[in-house]
Amino acid sequence: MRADWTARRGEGLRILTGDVTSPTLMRQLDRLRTELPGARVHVFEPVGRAQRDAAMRLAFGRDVDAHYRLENCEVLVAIDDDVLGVGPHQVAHGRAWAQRHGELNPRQGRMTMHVAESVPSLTGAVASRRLSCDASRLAVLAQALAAELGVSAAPADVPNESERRWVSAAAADLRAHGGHSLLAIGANLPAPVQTPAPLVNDRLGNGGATVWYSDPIGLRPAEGSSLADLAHDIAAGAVDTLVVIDCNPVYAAPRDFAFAELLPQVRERIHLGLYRDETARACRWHLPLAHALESWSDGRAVDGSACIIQPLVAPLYSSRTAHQLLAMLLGTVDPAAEGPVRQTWANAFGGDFDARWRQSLHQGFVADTAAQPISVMPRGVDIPSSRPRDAQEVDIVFRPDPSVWDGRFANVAWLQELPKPLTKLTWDNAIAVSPKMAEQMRLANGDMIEAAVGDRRVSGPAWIMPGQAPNTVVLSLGYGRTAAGTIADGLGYSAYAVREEANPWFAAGRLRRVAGSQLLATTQMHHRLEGFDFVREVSADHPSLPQEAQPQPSLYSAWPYRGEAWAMVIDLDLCIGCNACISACTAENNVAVVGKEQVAMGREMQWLRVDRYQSGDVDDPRFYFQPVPCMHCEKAPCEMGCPVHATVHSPDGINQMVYNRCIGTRTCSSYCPYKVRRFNWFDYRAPADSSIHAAHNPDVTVRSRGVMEKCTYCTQRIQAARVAADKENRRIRADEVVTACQQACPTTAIVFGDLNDPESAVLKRRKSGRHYVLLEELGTRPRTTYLARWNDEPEKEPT
Amino acid sequence: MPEPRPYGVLAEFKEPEGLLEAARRARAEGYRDLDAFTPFPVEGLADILRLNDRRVLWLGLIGGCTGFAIALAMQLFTNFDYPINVGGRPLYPLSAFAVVAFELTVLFAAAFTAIGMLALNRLPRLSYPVFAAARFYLASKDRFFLCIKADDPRFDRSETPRFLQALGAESVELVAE
Amino acid sequence: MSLTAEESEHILPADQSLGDVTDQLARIPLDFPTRGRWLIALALSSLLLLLFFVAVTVLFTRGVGVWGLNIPVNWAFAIHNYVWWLGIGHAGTLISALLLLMGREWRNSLNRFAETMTLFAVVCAGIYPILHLGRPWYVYWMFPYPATMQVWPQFRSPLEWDIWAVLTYLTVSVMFWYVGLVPDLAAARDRARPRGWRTFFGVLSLGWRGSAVHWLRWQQAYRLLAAIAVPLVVSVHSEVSLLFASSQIPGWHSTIFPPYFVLGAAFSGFAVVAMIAIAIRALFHLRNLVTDDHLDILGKVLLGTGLMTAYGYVFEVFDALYSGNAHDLQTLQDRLFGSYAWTYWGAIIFNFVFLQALWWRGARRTPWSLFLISLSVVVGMWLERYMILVTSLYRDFLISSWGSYTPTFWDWATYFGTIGLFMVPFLLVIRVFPVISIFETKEILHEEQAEPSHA
Repeated sequence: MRADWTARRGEGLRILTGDVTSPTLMRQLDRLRTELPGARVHVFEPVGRAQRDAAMRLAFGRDVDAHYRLENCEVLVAIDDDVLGVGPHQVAHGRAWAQRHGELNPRQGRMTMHVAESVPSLTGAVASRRLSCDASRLAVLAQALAAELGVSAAPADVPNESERRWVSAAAADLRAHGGHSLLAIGANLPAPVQTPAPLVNDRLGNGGATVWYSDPIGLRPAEGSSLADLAHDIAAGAVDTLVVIDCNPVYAAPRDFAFAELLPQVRERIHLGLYRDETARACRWHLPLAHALESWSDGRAVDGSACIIQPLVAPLYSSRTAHQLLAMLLGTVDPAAEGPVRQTWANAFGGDFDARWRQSLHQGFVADTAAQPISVMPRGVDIPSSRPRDAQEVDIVFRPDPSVWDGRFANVAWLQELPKPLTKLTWDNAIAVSPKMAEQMRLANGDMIEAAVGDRRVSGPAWIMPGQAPNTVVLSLGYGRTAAGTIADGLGYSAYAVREEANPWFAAGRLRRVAGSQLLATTQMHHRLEGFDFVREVSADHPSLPQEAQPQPSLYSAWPYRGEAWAMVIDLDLCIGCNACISACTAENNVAVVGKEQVAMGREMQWLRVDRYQSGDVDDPRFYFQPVPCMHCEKAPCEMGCPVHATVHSPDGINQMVYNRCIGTRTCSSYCPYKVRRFNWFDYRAPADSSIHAAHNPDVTVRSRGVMEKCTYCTQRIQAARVAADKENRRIRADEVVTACQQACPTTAIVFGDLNDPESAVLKRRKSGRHYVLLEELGTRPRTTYLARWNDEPEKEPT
Repeated sequence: MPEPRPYGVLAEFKEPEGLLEAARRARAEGYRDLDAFTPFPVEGLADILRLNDRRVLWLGLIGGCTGFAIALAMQLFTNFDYPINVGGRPLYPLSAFAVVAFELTVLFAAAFTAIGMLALNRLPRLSYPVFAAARFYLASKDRFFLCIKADDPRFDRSETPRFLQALGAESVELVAE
Repeated sequence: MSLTAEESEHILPADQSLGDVTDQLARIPLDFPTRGRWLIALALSSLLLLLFFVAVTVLFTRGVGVWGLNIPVNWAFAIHNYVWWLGIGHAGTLISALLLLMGREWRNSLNRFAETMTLFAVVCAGIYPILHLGRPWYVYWMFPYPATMQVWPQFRSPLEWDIWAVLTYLTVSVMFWYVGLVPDLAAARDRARPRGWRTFFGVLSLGWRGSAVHWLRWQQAYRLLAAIAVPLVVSVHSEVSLLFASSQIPGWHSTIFPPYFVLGAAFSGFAVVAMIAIAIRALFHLRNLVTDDHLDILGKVLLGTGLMTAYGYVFEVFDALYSGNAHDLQTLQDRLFGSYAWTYWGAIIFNFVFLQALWWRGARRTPWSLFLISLSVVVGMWLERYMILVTSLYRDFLISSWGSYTPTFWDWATYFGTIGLFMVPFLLVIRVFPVISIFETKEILHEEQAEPSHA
């Protein structure tokens, strides 16, 4: 086959891949193009950044990546830009935002956030001032803001009253904090709409302070290398061999070119991927791809730093990495997995290879490879006025799913069962509608509706999303898989069915009710706060909560804790509801996945949940997130209910669950005021020969049928720290023990440690004026406590 | 064949009043070792027969005290033997121990009473001389029997039946041991 | 309640002799009168019992997940039916023991089958806490025995109290029932002709011969057992209420619970006693022993306990309103208007509204009307227990963990199965043992005949 390509100098050979940042893969692709000049590499990424790249080209006349420095940001104005939401930047942004936001963090002070968006996002949920604005109005808003700041002409379309108020407040704040403010406009908006952002930031002196620019990180596809081009070439008969590398166009391609029908016209179709998915089934060859955890590879972080990926386990199955495949295409017979990666870095490191290679592997990244700021000047761009909307039409917005992204993670049960941050839905995607629209169409959650764009249509269950702009409808990507595997097949609908190449994130369409309804499995059935004070708030006028001088009185004398006294404090002002803690907990503690029916019955097993509440106007509510692990009450009601001593207190104050002593009376759960306990209703263990066991944490027991379980404060980590301390004959150091949830939290909302250690971070947080105890009136004396959330606009709160 | 040793003489009465009167007369006559067999407890009979045994009640009391002591000791000991912090509650919460203490008091009191009653009555004993009497099966129906036992010093094989006959018994029968 | 007027009158017709009564009652096991109807009842009950075994097999094989339980409602049918069955059981003891001590001799016609009902109701109740365990095969861990892990049971737990209370109650009920039965077994022994029956009753009657000194000790023991059983009943259902009241869950955490539970228990139990009395008197033609007067009294007792239970309802509402606690008010609102409001209003209608018919003498004395009202009480109390369990749990403190509960097929199968578990042994017992206390009936008959002037 190779001889054939060489003979034809690669003519007819096409390679299709997703976004590439791997230096090795880029090097190999370059070599391939050199050796076989006729071959072409196409890039297809369903949740790509094409619009942002186009916007940057418009604004700067060249390819540029923009980077935010939220830690320097006193004012953030975001138009449909979910800077704290899912995506590669989430962790970096979250950490920087928290650095700015947290009162106990080095850069004290708050960030005033003005967010305008059509669909509630994590950024919008923590905004100081949020404007709910239909998707088709966002361009007007961006232009109005630009005009207000003097960088653009006023929009043709006049903003309405609430839009104007938001714009003037945002503009005033931006201007007042020039040099410490940031205007961010969503990467999914049409390119011209995004162009005011660089201009405004430049005008206010934010360049270099809150935003900087670099050369593009990763592969920038050349002209004519999109999926559309590939489709065109296939139709023209110009493609003889197609190698698809870990990419699923048959499922995820926009429907305006029928890729699934075109693909069989290619003579030789080869698919390299983790799953025998929709594309694999349409190909003649499916080659099993090694998982990232089994692979040698490399890649670039969002700041441009190169990281070398090393395998965590030997490959479980006979599989190859993408680098091995390309090496084979380039003529190496049976290449070693490590070879291509070493070769890349051998070129880069030069003579000092061994030392630098070892250092990079040890550190996890290659030193001094981060992207460097470049100096670029933005220029003004005219924003074309948007087409006036037909009264019958609705704004259809596409969003990647917060759990399964574009669908590539659909077959991961952990992610399917992870409740989506704002809806708490699991195992499904829904068509989100605003409360107003639901009222007009008399919809309830789960009623089937059909969205139509042109003559293409898709139907799915409705979900009423408070805070969603009135005329906006959200379709989530990532579901409706047909060949994803046993877990994902048949779940949800595929939004790709109505997605268009030209504008992949927005469409004007119609919505109608169709017969039937569908069961949706949520982990939280009721969303309103109903005036309870589970999440407390402070404001500029009342910066601290009334603190009780004494804890609730108790008939029983306090039990002494002479050694460690473990405790956790969760700062609700820092929680962005991102679910990292839940995922980390699930992985760390071998938490079982139970499936859609069981979740719908209320039997999800996650030890940690993030409660999400809304208060105020349903059209523009205030959102709250509250992570709730076990409270580890000193006066635990659960323990006193257990007849067999299966849940008792440890000397360091942990509410322990002794699985092998549990007989399953479930009294503990009945008595628990926080309902944090989870029960093994069936035998949720994997069969003895299952490969799932390889994913289990060997330090944590897998629970059998009929026993209760719950958060243990990662007791295995505490024990490990104690063993380490004992070996060195010392006490456990302050903040030495880090729980899985704490470790994963991008915003440092969770802090864990020893109350008896005066140096510990928990103790510092406990002394904060924002400190409070959930359901304090019950006298349970929890060890897990909270810091109140900051409310920038307390007057908006209903009394 | 020697005549079997008699157990006593049974006299049958139609009414409890007749039995009571006969018992009274028998005691007046000097008979002391008397017993009666009735289908239901007859009021006043125990007084006439000078039966005064309160041991069942004492057994009940002893049982109750035993149960209470066992329950308290058990609960105190288990917490002493395996002391552990349960919900920050005291190790020896007497109020929480009260329920089991009460239940075991009741259980032991009841068991001592019921079993003690049977033991004092020497029951179960499936065979007993009076069962051999021809009309004794009526003692559980509607007849009332007075028995003068052979152990009584005044008992006489021929005199005693005659005495009972004279008291108006429906039937009189000598019962063998 | 004015029982005094009733009490001075004769409850049994005077025109029957002691011998007639003995023959009539002792003959029932020996020469069973209504074989056909009894067999049909037994067959139907056996079907239910079979259903019970199937349901339990499925439960044990697959796990408690076959029921509709979840977090937060992780106690529902099992605990709810446990409380319900146990409550029914309590009436048997109360009729037998309390009325014996109070000298209400009309109970002599009712106590035997009431006690029998208690036994099997307690068995049905007692089996539920075992079935509901996640790992029922480890139920013995609740008992103190020297385990290799050196762990003991936890005596601060209301569940631990529970197992002692129920076992004590079962044991004491068996002893009370048996001690009371022995003289009648002797009577049956003396009537029985076939050798098998003679041996059967002979062994079980322990050689009872009605000796005066035996009667003396028997009476002491029986009265002492009765005196013990009455506080026991009160303690057992108070203790059951502590399963709930010991928690902090709104709707459970209330000091009204112990008396409220005990009265509710007596209420439902008397209803079942009335139903069984009506059924047995019809089945075995015992109108002369279970008279209209008996039904009248049962009706009054039912009305009385029902009104006291209704007081509990009123007080529960008052309690929540008076406390002003937001969570208690929330639970009250959920009960009155929430997803399970039908259980609340169902309880009110079945337990209170229909009950008011019992103010009329005619309704009390007519078997079918008393039967229907009793049935309504049984249903009403079932709904009440459901309401207490589910409406408290499905929405407790944190709004985020609010849930819902729907019983599954296996929930219902297990529940209806326990009706079979109750009926089959009950039918067998009334088949082989005297259904009505023979000697106690004779005692009262004799007393009434001895003083005819009252009539």
